[in-house]
Amino acid sequence: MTRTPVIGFEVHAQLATRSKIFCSCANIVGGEPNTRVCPVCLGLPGALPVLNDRAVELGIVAALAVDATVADRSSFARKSYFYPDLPKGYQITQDTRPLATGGGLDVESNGRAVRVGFSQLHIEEDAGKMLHRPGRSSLVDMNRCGVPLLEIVTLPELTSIDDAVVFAEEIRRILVSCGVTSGRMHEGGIRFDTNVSLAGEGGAPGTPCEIKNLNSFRSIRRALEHEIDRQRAVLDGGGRIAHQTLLWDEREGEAHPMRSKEEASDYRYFREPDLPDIIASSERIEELRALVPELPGAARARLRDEHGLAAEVAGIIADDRREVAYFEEAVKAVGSFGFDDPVERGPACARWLVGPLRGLAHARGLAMEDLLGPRLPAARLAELIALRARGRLTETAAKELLGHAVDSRAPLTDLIEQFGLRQLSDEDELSTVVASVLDAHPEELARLRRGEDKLIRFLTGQVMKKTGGRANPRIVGELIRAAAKREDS
Amino acid sequence: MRLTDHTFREIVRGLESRELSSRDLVGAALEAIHSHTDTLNTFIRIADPEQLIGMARAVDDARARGDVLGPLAGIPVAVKDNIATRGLGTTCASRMLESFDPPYDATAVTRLGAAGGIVIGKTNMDEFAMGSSNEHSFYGPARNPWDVGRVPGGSSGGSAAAVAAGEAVLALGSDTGGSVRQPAGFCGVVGVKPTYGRISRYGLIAFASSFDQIGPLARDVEGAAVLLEVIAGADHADATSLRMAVPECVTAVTRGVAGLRLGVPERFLGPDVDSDVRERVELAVTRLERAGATVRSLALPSLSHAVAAYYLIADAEASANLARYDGVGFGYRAAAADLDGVFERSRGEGFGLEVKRRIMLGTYALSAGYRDRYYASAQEARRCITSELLGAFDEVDGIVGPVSPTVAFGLGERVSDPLAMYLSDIFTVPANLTGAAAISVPCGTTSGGLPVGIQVIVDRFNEPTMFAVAGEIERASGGPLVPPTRGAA
Repeated sequence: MTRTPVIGFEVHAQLATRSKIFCSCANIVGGEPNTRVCPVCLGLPGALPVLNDRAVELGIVAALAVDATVADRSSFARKSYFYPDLPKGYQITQDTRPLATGGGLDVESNGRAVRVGFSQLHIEEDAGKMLHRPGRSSLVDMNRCGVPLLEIVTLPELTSIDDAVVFAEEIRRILVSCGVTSGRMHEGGIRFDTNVSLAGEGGAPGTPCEIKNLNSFRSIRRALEHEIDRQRAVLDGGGRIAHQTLLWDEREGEAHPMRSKEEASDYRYFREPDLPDIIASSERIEELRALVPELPGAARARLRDEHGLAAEVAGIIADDRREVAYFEEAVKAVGSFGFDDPVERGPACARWLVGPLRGLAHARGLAMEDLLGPRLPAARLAELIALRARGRLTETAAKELLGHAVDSRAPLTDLIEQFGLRQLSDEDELSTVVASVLDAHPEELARLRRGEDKLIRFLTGQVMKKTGGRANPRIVGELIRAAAKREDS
Repeated sequence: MRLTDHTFREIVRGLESRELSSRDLVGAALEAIHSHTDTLNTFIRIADPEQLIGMARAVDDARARGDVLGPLAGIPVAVKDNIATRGLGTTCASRMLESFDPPYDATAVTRLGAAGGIVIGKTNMDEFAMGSSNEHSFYGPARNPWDVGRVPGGSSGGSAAAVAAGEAVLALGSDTGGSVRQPAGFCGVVGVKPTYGRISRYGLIAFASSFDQIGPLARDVEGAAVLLEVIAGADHADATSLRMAVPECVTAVTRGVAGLRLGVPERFLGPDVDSDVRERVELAVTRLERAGATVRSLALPSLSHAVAAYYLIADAEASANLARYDGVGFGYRAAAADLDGVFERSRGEGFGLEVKRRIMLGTYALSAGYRDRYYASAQEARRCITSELLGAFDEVDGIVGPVSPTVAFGLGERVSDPLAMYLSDIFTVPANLTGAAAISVPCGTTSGGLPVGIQVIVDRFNEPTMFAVAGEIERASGGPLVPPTRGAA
């Protein structure tokens, strides 16, 4: 019997605010345990929360980006449960009156359009972290207490693991591109909880189980595979699924049921009396709407359609809206440096961004965002690309020039001279080099004359080696051919 | 000297003319505390006497130099032990916080200090402010200076008794359902519950956050008005504090009541009220009429739900507010083999019986399946009471009636009947449910020689009218009371 998975998510994204959600402690990941804390985020008796407006703004930006409806008035609630990493014994979150409701996301999965609706988006505080030491006492680090979180609750509308992973990747991309979150998954910047059930005959709903603590796309895939297999085996064996909450263990690659005591079923929500309602006027919402950038999906389509990029290349650049802007600036500038073919401008710039620039960033241990900007203005990269396209540089020399262009502010033409990168196209100059290479390789020259054409490549390589990669390979090839013919006659 | 020999104005003038010194005041307070220690048990902790006298001397020296001093310069003030004071400990009269030393001062304490007030010590109270008799204290009951066989009221019993017995000139209490006004009435002093939000709650250890207000206690109305003006006002650390200027309260005390419209709710002078109390209150009302006020009767039928609504909401909020005492980060911690053991034993051993009863009631009222019936309907009742009571202020400027149905009762008389204890809050809880301001003023003594308090409730933000009526009552009844058996030390 076919059983279709029914999958939903709770997405938790740490908001990129400077300070925590209810106090002025810095919102920075990590640090010595229990150093980024104050009476408020430690929940000391008598301390009171004061809402960080920036967290609300980022929440609204995210809501607008996914077409959710922002509530003109929303309120906080207390969610009560005991756990050592929750210093107040309750989490300040939003319950029945969230920041926003509705909205959703369209993604493309395996060539199909998939729509996922959202039930609500709300903001809340993060809890601390436990460090369990088997056989010894457990430790608690409160640095993360009070870090602002955005929670997006989806409807259970995904029907395959592939779709689920594509959705997770896309929602992360959107939140990052809006500047709402760092999205750094290895730091817990975005965390996923998923709920999954198997629908029976005729789509009859099954009993969902929840899996918490999914901190990578790989974990999402593995956890869903695991859980769907488990449920399928139970159902196929005539059994019934009992609702349970599982905790994913990334290292073991397994999900373990939570103890029933950890899985408090009654959170006793009630309105948070320490915080006034959040009022979002239509003026404020409109102001924030202006901050919603072009989303990655739209940027991808535009890069493909307007700039002629291949889907894969477009996807890489579209992930970061700053990179999109940089790319477009470079495309515009490259024409003014004499890059004549308008159809090739986009792909050429994209190739440099995705290839050599990423290689350079990697080699220098930098993030792309460190390179794009004052260190390498888009116009400077455009000039380099145009020089290469116009044959003033070989590929090797152009890549070397890129490194110098980042390190120095001198004009590219000066750098080319300084480092001797100018392409050798002068036939007299090159003829001498070619002649000396042919003298040194009589054997190969003889084979070329006997018709072994591939030796052109070998001999050209030798010339390139001798000229430090600066020789114009087309002219070198012609010179070698001409020399071979000359000796023949 | 004895502090009870002087009105607040006489003390201030005495200091200004240097007929009195701060050294005299602090000395008199310490002497009174010392001589009553075994009988009244008003203080949980007293500041270091040498340090206090040093502070008093410093104020006296500054005054001699002609420095500009704050309105409370050199005046000894007692602070209820649920208001955070750095270096003086803050126990809430609970074993749970026996060794808790907050790393910060409450905003009210900071402002008190900035005005020159000298915090003389931390006063006894019902544990976590839960009680109306001061019998639920880990440090033993405080007693009434008018009759040591009787309770001082609660929960701010220590603060009220300390002011009545001349152990401090002024005191801070907190009022969640009458906890300043009722002990003020029982001890024959003035106690104020200001408009919700008038005084920052930052540093007030929460019992029921939507009701809690710090309130001043003094031997006379002017003293209470001066203290209120000093500690009131917007505070960025408390999101529920009022963002508006503090009105002039001190000048209103002598304004008189000519032309004011006063109302007396029918049930406030019904058969549940002791005849001694009723007679004193009726006499005071007659005097107000004679001074130019008009008096009418008010129906206010929704008030019959006030006590039930108050206890359900207050205990629900308390159940969350007190969840932070789990033995992990601060407070009492019991040794146990596992995590649940730490939670259960720390709370089981750290909290007293009444606190546990409130937590149980509040948890129940919020639990799945009961929340709608209890917590939600109590909120509905609160909305009805609020609209009815605040609506009455369209027709009257103030509501007048007794503070409590009885005078101070005997120690141990009600401790085994919590319901009777709760019902005695009938006249005080409406102000907390609605956010209105209210004051308790002595209006004479019974034939048995015990003080009777009269209450004036006014609309939110209208403290000046409250002080005008209170000042008139005080003048008409012959000025501040002095307990007969105390102060002879």
